[in-house]
Amino acid sequence: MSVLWILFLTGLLAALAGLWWPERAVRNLVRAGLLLALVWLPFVPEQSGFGGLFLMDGFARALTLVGVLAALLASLVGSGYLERTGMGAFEYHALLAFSTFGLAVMASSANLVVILVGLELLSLPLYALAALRYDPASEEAGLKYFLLGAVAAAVFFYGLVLHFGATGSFALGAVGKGPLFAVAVALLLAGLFFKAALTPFSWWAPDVYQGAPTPVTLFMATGVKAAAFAALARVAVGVGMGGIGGAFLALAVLLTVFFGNLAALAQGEAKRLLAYSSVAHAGYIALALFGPDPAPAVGYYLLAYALSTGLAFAVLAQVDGGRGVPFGEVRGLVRRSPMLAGMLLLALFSLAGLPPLVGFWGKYLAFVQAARGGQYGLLAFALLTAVVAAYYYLRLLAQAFFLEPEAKGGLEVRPLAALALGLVAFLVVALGVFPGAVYGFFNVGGVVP
Amino acid sequence: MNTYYLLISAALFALGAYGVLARRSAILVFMSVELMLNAANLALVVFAREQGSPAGQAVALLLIALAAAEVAVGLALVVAIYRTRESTLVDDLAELKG
Repeated sequence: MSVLWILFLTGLLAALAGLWWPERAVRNLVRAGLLLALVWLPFVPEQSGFGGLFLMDGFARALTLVGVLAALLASLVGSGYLERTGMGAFEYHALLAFSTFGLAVMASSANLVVILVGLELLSLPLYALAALRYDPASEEAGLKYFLLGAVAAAVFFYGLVLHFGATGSFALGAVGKGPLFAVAVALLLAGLFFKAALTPFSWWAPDVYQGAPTPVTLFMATGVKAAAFAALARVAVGVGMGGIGGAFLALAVLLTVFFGNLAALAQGEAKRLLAYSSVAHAGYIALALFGPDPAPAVGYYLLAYALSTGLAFAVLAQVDGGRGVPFGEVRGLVRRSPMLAGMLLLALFSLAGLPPLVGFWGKYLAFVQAARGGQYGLLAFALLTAVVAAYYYLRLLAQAFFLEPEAKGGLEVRPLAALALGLVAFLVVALGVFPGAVYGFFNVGGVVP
Repeated sequence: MNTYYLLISAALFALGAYGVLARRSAILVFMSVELMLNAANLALVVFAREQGSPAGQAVALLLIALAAAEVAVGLALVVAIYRTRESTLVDDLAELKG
């Protein structure tokens, strides 16, 4: 409860303070609020409130932690980008805080109505954030994200209503059967597949990720994914994976890992490539839902993925001058800034799942869950596509390491952004070498009461 | 009796989904989404009456408020885009490809 209050007050104060205070003060206020929430989270006791509508269990705590971490990273690496592109407005930080509040609401409930409210609280600030740069690409990203997000919310809403009609309850875990319940399950999952960017509902992701300002893309790829999977795990386990739900999810995973990785092979823009990679990773995370004990694998994969993708986008945010990051911009990065190039290397190796880095353990846990759930066919297919994925990560790295730079001159990285980048890079390596260090925090029980 | 209302709700939802796919103006796509939301609300109040559940009716009110918040953000976006492009056709949004 206390974390929700911290995030809510941070957003509210930032929105009000922006009217009088300079952008710099609002920025610091939001960072302080997010940091407080992050430090406070591990000490929050497991509790529920409002007659079970609010549920702060271990799973909610773990995924809120991932989301707040992502928001903090987006805030720290974002301000340099904002000033370079002339959008140094306080709204960025205020909207980010509100979005994080929505994320926490969505992660800490097993009630469909609260999840929908959290989904909207998370999404509405993000639609504005995506369009914040006020140029055609950014506006296109904002409108596309909005229209498809609104459709997704409507589909989820209809699923919620049919769930209520079939079971008489908005709470997940209620027993239902019959065709009405089956349609409800399909609609609920389809709505969340949109948010989590699982194929066939992921075609918006590349456009939106590419067009949105890079720090916003960072938050979409990490924080939003964590919230979407928090809800998806609860819904999938709540309605049961035995019937149509399991079949629908299996089909989505199959399509996601296939198309996500295949389409990424043909990309010539770094943000777009990472967008397809994030689609593919959504498929791997969803694999964990087939296991008998999905919560630790989903949580740990999301942490690993948020650190790795967050690091990659944070590096791109330093390179990006406001017109996206075509491969030409990344070319010869090692000459311009060896530190950033090294971090990109760590991030992409971790995303590819190479053993000494944190991404490997995420994949390992998810694949073990899929195997324990008996999904051997899916697992073999996912492993095969994971090998393909290594190719396009290496292709991007080759641009950064083996080619001459197009732009001359070094890159200036602000001290706080450099600190954040360094910390995340450290975590990517340290949690890879000592995966047990934080695993206990993610090793939680069930996801539905 | 309730079945008719549910059928109407399903038809409205299908109409909205068709509008989302077929319409080319951002405003009309958005209105189609609103149609889908209202179809869901209609089904919700029918189910709530059937089960005699005041919670269901209250949730319908809550979600009308949610839809209104969505309208505020969505129309602001459409207006911002219209100012730079003088068009709200979704087909004109083709900067990003790959």
